Amino acid sequence: MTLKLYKNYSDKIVVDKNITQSGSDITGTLREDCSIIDPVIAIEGLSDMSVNYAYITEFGRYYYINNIVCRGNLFELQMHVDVLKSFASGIRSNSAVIARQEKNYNLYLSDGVFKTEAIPHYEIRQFPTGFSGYHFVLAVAGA
Amino acid sequence: MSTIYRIPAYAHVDENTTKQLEAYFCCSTVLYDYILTHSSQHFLIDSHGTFDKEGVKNEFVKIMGDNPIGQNIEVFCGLRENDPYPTYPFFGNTLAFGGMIPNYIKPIVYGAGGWPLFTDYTFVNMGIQTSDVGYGKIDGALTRYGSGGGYYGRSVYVDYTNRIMNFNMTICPDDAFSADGGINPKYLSPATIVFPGLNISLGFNSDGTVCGGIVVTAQGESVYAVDINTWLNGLKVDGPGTVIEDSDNPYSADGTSGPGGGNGKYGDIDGIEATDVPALPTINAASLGLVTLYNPSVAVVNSLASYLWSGMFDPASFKKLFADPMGCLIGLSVVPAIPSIQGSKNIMFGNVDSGISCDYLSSNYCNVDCGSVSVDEFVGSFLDYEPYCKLNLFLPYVGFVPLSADDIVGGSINVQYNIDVLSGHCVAFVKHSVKGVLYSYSGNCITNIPITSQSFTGALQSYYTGLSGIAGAALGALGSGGGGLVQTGAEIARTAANTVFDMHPTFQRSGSMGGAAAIMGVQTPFIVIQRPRFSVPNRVQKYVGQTSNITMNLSDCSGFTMCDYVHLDGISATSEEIMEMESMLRQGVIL
Repeated sequence: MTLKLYKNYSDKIVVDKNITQSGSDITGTLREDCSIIDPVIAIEGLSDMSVNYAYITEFGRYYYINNIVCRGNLFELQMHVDVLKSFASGIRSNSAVIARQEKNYNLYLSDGVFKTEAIPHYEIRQFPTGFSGYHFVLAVAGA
Repeated sequence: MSTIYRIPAYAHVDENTTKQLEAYFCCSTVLYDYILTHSSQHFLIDSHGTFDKEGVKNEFVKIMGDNPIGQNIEVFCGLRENDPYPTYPFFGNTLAFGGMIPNYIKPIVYGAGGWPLFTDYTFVNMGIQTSDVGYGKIDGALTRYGSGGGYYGRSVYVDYTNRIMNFNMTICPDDAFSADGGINPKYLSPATIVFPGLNISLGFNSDGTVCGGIVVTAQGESVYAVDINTWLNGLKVDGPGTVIEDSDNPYSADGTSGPGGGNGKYGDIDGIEATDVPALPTINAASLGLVTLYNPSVAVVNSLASYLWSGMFDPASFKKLFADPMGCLIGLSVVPAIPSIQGSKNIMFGNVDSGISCDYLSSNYCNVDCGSVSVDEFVGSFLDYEPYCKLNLFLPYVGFVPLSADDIVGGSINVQYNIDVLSGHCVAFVKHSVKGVLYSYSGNCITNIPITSQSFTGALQSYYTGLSGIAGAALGALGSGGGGLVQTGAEIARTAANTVFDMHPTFQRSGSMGGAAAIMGVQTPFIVIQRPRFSVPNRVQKYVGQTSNITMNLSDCSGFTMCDYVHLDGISATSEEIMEMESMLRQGVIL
């Protein structure tokens, strides 16, 4: 098994993570049962404790390192699969009904996210003309 | 030594005859050997019928036997391995080979059932068998045989006795028939819609299963070889020539439920037949001759008053028509608009000429156009419309009236009055630039000037009515304002726009504005547009996106993306991972 350790600088919701590999590839053998989704892998002599991301070649998946537990010289990496990064191309090959998007949007749909201030904006427009002047009208019977 | 493949041909003797059987079979390629078998061993092989017939090609082998009624003849022809064009032995028919095969010899090919030696054949491009009895010849029917064998087209004789069905089928649209089984009336129009049809021939095996078929379009343009059993897709074939269809059982595979809806006039109903401001009435009191409407100036009114109370006015002559001098005066009033002047003449009280010249009106109706004001979108979003944007229009002699932002925003509105100066009634029309007249309100624009004690009482009554309207409106405003303050206080934290603006109380801006009071009011219409002042954080789209509701390929999305509905296909991941991906897409990801 080959394990690559990274430093991930991106949020979990980012598909294309900004990662930098830390050290060289680590090879070893699985000695116990190992989940492909939540693998726990113990390695000997972890030099860089700031790693937070990994790739397991045999599993073909990227993983978040959720926790590192030290057992003497053994460092147990508790990980969870990053489905967004691992299956990025597959996700992008699909279509979906988009509820909210950063660049493709329709502002005429009611949006509860926006907030309004207490003081409203006023516009007062007068019509060009109105009633000007007053007139007497005398009504008399007959022509 | 080369492997010899022996391929069979079959015939059946089905005629009772006493003479000795004499038949032939042939192989169109090099024949290396043959074996003739039969049920009763009555057949003999002629002089050619010896083994070691290598080199014989297209040469008939004669079969001789004794009275083999009801027997099957089997001939196995030996063909050398890797023969470039191995072919099938066959029995010639009487037409093709000059009667070398007696009529009672019927070559047979079994497509399925019976002898399973032909299961590897594929019949394509089959011809139509016009007779429903006997047997027929199909040219080029056999195109492939044997695993890995070559392709070669040649004739095959098929026994179709009672195993052929020709029928026509019409292809109809789904709604060709109405619910009661009749033809849908829409297809009964003079322009008859011709549905495409198919001519279909099916061949059946002895057990009733379909062994092959042909489909010819109504236009005769194409012939399709079909896998009939697959094509019929569930129709039960109960013997030759009979197709049993499902009845009207609602629980049959067809069922009774079907798609529906969506056939509205969407796209066709978007026209607006705008209503214009109506023209003034063509019949009016002033034109009848019973009433004359004068438009006196202040000087003329003063002269008139002097005349009425001077010695020049002769009550004796006046009383011939009226009980008192004021009987012929219908009223003196002040109005904000005046109809067109028809001319000038002396003011007449009955038959008494006052000698005071004054302009008089051609009609008691007039129109006042106050012009137009545009109400544009402010943001270009949902905030420009109801319930977030509130419009109030002040109309002189009517008061404040609310307008729907949905009606008005994005266009201009024009205000016009139609006024009757005799009664003082007026109608204010609010006309949208595209949608025409959307609102109309009535009011009163007259102020009566008392010229007798009775008319003064009436004028005061009108005055107080106007004041009470103002007072009532003020009380109403206070009442709704109080409630609004309570609500506003409770909602200190401003949340979503659609919540906040619903919370804003609606204040009444005036009461009924008409008559004597209105003449002291504002004489020009104006509109109050109250819009939400929205608070937008910098680059908010990056964090939460904006409303989209568009179906898109995710590859076309960049930045924050939140899905309403997504079904991920084509991803080789565990179901748990798929669920997590779909969940994250619904909560929002950054692509």
